[in-house]
Amino acid sequence: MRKELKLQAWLDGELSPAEERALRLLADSDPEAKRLVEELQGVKAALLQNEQPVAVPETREFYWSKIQRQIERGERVGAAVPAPWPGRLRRWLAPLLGATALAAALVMAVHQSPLPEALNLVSITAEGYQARTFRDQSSGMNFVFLEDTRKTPEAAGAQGQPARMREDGSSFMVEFE
Amino acid sequence: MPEEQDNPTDAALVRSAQKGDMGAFEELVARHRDKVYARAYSMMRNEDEALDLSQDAWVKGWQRLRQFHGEASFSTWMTRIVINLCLDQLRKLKRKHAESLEALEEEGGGIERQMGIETPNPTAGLERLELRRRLDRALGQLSPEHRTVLILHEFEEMEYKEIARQMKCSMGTVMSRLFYARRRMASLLAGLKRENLE
Repeated sequence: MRKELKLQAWLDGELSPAEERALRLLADSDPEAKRLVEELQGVKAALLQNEQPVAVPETREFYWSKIQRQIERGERVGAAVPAPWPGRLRRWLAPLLGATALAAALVMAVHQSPLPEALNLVSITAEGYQARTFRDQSSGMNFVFLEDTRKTPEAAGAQGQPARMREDGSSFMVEFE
Repeated sequence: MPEEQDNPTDAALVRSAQKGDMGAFEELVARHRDKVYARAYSMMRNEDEALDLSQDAWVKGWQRLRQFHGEASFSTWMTRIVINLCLDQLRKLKRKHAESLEALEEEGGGIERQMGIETPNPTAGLERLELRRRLDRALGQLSPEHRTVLILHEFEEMEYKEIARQMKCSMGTVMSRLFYARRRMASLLAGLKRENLE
């Protein structure tokens, strides 16, 4: 540690008794060290109990009103965390319906205008969902894969495991979560 | 005790507020708002930021009130909350702006060691109001890092270790910033004294 920092640590009472004795000797024998200690002590003493008093530049009521609003807003948000089930349903229903409509449109598009074998894989991404369709010409079956791309791999759970499968004769739908 | 009902202690108000009594909390805010605001202002040197941060501190205080068990006084606990918010804000500002010239000089080779030593004490014999005014002016000319370390050490009476923990830096950095801040203060105060004499 630099000598100057040791002198300062001594002034601040941050040294062991043995170190303190050594520093006292240094301050007594070295004029420059002594002057430095005096300067640091002067600033320390001047600051002691001499912080400029500052008051809030607003009335009690006005200052409190903002705090109160924030507290109440925070409590409303906190209370809303376990959302009632209609709210949760609404949150999931909209994207789910959107994704289903997207998948249905893809199935119809592939079914009504058969694509060449090499081009029969279609992929569309929208609203956090990715839909991939594949038409198997030999069986005349459309395959639709729906994936929720908003989920992290950890949150997705078992990797690659389909969550739901549906078949309606001409289409076979697999949803991944 | 009618007197205690008329003028409840902080501890009694805290107990009521912990049970959800917002009126009791409002009284605590009224009692200590100047102290909390003053600490935010001393660190940020900006009235609007100090108001926002001090009010955010009170909101946090309400949210964490159950964690207050009276180890320190309520006003000290609240002051620690506002200091943490100010330090977070200063860190954000520092990331946005380039290092100040002052900080570069400090890390580049210790300009404080080249400063002439200011003796006799430039604040000796000053009236208290004048002394406070000059100290405040000099503090305002320090970089946020140097001002903060000085405030935490001299006004909040924190030890080096605690300052290092709060400021997320090493004890060596705390010592070096504190040393630079004091030397710069001595120099600024001497400059102010000379200005006054001229």
